[in-house]
Parts: sequence; structure tokens; C-alpha cells
Amino acid sequence: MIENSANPSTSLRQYLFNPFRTIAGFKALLLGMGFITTTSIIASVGGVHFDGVLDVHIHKPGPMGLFLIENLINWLCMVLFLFFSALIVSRSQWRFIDILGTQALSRWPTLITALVMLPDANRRFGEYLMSKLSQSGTTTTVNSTDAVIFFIAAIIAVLMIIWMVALMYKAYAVSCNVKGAKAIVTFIISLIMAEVVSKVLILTLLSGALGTKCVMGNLMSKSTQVAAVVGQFENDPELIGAWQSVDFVNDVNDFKAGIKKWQSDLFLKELTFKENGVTSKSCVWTKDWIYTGDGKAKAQYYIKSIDSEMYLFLPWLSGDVIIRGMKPSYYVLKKITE
Amino acid sequence: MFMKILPTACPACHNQLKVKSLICEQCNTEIQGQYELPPLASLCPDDQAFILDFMKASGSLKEMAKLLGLSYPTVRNRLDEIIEHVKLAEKPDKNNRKENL
Repeated sequence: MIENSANPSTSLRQYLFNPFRTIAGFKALLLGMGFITTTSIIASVGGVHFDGVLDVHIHKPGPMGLFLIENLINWLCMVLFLFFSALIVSRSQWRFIDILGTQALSRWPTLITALVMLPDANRRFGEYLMSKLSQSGTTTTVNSTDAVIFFIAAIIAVLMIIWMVALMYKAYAVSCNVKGAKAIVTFIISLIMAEVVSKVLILTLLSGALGTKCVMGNLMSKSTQVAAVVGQFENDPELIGAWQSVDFVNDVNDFKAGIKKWQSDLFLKELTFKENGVTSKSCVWTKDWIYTGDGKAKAQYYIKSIDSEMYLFLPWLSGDVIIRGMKPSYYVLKKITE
Repeated sequence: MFMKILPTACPACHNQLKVKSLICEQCNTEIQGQYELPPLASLCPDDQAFILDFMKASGSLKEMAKLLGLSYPTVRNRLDEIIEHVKLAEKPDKNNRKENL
């Protein structure tokens, strides 16, 4: 009769690096689904996106469903490619439920990643780094504590990804009874393919679902921002497209086509209105209304057709308008593309 | 009761051992010859115990997994290893039979 190892250190090592010796199939699937759901809930609070089998990025918090879909895509992509690998190389009578369950369970270190990424200091420092890299001029204030927390979280996140990969490999080896070079090579190929496919799927499926083709980071933050700021979004097909500034007036009726009243350089050169309330700047919109990015102020915009050209009168939400409650002036923009 | 373990490999060169003599405990009749060990007897005691438990569990890997406190694939992998071992042990026997024919 074979028995489990009685040595406590062996047992601990086994639970950490090969829990599949004792847990597989439906039990592993239930446990794994529990971890995936919990991770998604925590990730949605902290804005921690697992946007690829091996990826973790911090953006703004959003609906839990999006985070759950990301995690499910990552898990199922890995399952799919390991399934095909097992079909090719395994000579054993393996079961699909074992691959499904053990791969779900092997993603449990992402729970720790989501937890260590939770402090707001990570996002602040991440935004600071991004602004430095892109030289966007955005002023994000960070302190040394933020930097320390960010680097500790980053190191832990990397370690957790390594641990997760080790668990995924062990899960594959145990579930499909593959060993040696054959197991390592097929696992690496599956991992690379799953990473690529999961990344593409998350980008295309989620951008398709939200009606925008922007990249994941913008997609998550902007769409969430629009929903948070405008509530129920109402479309305005006339507004969608690119507009170019032609004048700046105190009142809508002051504008005369072909005569520029504003003599200085126009600060706002161009603005593009995208579907679902997103713009090329920080502001967001819904039919008839333009909002500041933080949702603290809004004003009505107007579209007029003058001499068969479309003009947009965009209220300029300056400090005078937001803080002092003054009437806004208007940028006049001419439509250049739909 | 102390039970001696049947050695299956030579302690000097690790080659598979063969049966040279068999004896009847009742009348002391002794048979001399050179017999191959049956494939199951060539397994290590742990593997033999596993096969015995597997048989007692009516050949159910799920039952075996419950009995041993291990996962289903771990038990199935163990069985795969034993099958491989038995197949290897059977090979020289088959070759001998072919030679005899």
C-alpha cells in the first residue's frame, strides 16, 4: 500500500508546488473557480487587470464582470492549448476535467498578486512612471512610501507569476502523465500560444463588447469613467468624429463663419468624439452634454449647420465655470471627419 | 508474523533473478529447474501491494484514489508506471518463447 508522505516539510512543499498529487478533477475545479472569482472581486476593487495568461497591469477599478472575464479567458486559453498538447504527446488515459480543474487551481497565486497590488500607492506610482515614460506632462504626486510599496508589490507579483507557471506545469504533468523534455517543450509552446491568444481575445472581445477599438488600458479606464460620470449614456451620431477648432467665442450667437474673433492662438486644436462617450481628451460626453473627466462639471454643447458645414459649440469648462459658476465661453469646432 | 520479501533482482548486478528450486512443505518434494518469475512477482513490494489494492477495489481508480488519499491522475499515473514495468518484464519472456519455438 502506498501512503502519503508523513514528513511535514515534504507535505508543505507538496501543497505549495504540487497540490495536484492529492487534489484534481472536480474538487480542483471548484477550488480553482473559488480562487478565480475571489481574485476577480479583489482585482475589480484595485483595478488589477490580468490581461493575458502571464500579464498583470494596474488601471482604474471597474465592473467585476470584466475582471472575471479576463481571468476566465486566461484560464481557458491555457486549458485549450494543453488539451491539444496532451492529445498529441500523452499516451495515458487522461481526463479533460483534470486539466480543467488543475489549471484553474494553479492560478491561485493571482489572488496574492491582486492583494499586494490593492494599495492605491501602486496605482499612483504606476501612473507616475507612465507619465514619466510618455512625457505627457501629467502631474502625479508620489512619495517615497509609494515607491517602496510599488517595488515590493512588483517583486511579489513577479514571484507569484513564476510560482503560477510552476504550478501550471506540474498540473499539466500530473493530469496528462507527461514527463521530461516532451512535457517541457509542449508546455512552453502551449504557454506562449495561450499568452498570445488570451491577449488578443481580451482586447478584441472586450473592445467589441464596449463598442470601442482603443487599447485595453484606455478601454477599461475610459468606459468605466463614462459610466461613472454620465450614468445612462445616450448616443449622438452627429457628434461622433473629428473636429477642428476655428474660433473661441463668448456666446454661440457671436460666431460668424469665415470671421475669426479670437485673435490669439487657440489652446484646443482638435477634438475627437468617440462612441460610448469617450473623447480624445479627458472630458466625456452624452447627448447634448459635455462633462469634465472627473464629472464635477457639465455644460450643454450645440451643433449648427452653417453654409453646409457642421459646427460644434463646445462649452469650455474652465476654473471660472467649475469653481465660480460663471457662464462658459465656447470653442467653435468644424467637423473634419465622421 | 514476519514475512520475508521475495528478492527479484540480483544484489550484485541487479539482473532479474530466476526461480531455481521449488519445495513442498508437506512432503519435502523438491523440484529443481530454471523458471522465470511471473511478471507481477517481478514488481517491487509497493507495486504489488498497489495491484492487490486495485484488484480489491474492483479495478476502480476512483476508489483507489479515495483509499490512498491521492488524486485520480496520481493513482492513474502510478498504474501507468506499473503497466510499463510489467510490459518490460514480459518482453524477455516473449523473446525466449519465440526462440524456443
